[in-house]
Amino acid sequence: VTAIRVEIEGADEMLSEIERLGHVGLVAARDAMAAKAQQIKAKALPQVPDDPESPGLLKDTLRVYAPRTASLKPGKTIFVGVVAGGRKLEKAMGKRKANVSAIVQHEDLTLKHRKGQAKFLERPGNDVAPSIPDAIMAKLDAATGGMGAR
Amino acid sequence: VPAEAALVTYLDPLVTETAGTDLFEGPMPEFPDNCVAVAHYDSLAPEGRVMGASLSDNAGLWPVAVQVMARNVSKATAEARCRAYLDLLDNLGPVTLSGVLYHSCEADGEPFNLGQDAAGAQGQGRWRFAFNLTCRKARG
Repeated sequence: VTAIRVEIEGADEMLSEIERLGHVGLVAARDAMAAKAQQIKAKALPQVPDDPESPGLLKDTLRVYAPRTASLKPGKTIFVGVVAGGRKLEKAMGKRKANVSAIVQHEDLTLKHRKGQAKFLERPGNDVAPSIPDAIMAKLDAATGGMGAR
Repeated sequence: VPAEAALVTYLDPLVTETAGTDLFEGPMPEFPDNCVAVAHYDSLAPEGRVMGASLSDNAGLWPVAVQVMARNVSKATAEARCRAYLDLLDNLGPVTLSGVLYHSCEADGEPFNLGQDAAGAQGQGRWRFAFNLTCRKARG
């Protein structure tokens, strides 16, 4: 499985604003991040390589994890994942090959693809990530009638 | 100077591999079996440009994404060579490479196993280990 994980780090003001708004803030931030994750997925889809050993299958495994909150690091983290690979590949390739297939397709820059390319998740992730803080702030503003987010 | 060229020039005197012989600007060539490649595979928008006025003093930070891949018929050697390059490049900077200031180079993680390919000189699979690196550099 290969995954792009988008985290907002160092944005203390924004995170404290989300916490101050409680459930409303959390839902607004999650909505914004879910929308951005879908945007990453949409940009990634045409870039997923068509591996001859599993034609079309890797593209079918591309999915977005619902936003979650966790305390994996000091302080609270909100994260959302865009993922490729996993069990869907196992039926076609066997468990051993499926375990590494997605990461090889994503990371191996020497492979020559007829369709798609390496770094099919990372590139869209990098494209979209800079716009996530503004999207969260816009959602916070909307959720509070323009009074919540500073 | 492309980042991969600057990094290979920097690494050449520090490693057992030799630029042009078994140390390459990527992507990695088919042969030799045992070698290392440094590939500049993506460039990101300057951080000062995308993060707004509060970081405008960082307008000269141009992040580039680099992958280092080590290949060897021995799995242990492939991993060890990859790790040796990680030790040399992670937390590198500020340093001037080929006339360009590199503010920082930070690995995105430890070397990971890309498995074996099936294209060795004797038909054997060759083990590949890689890691990704983000370098924040001046333009040029």
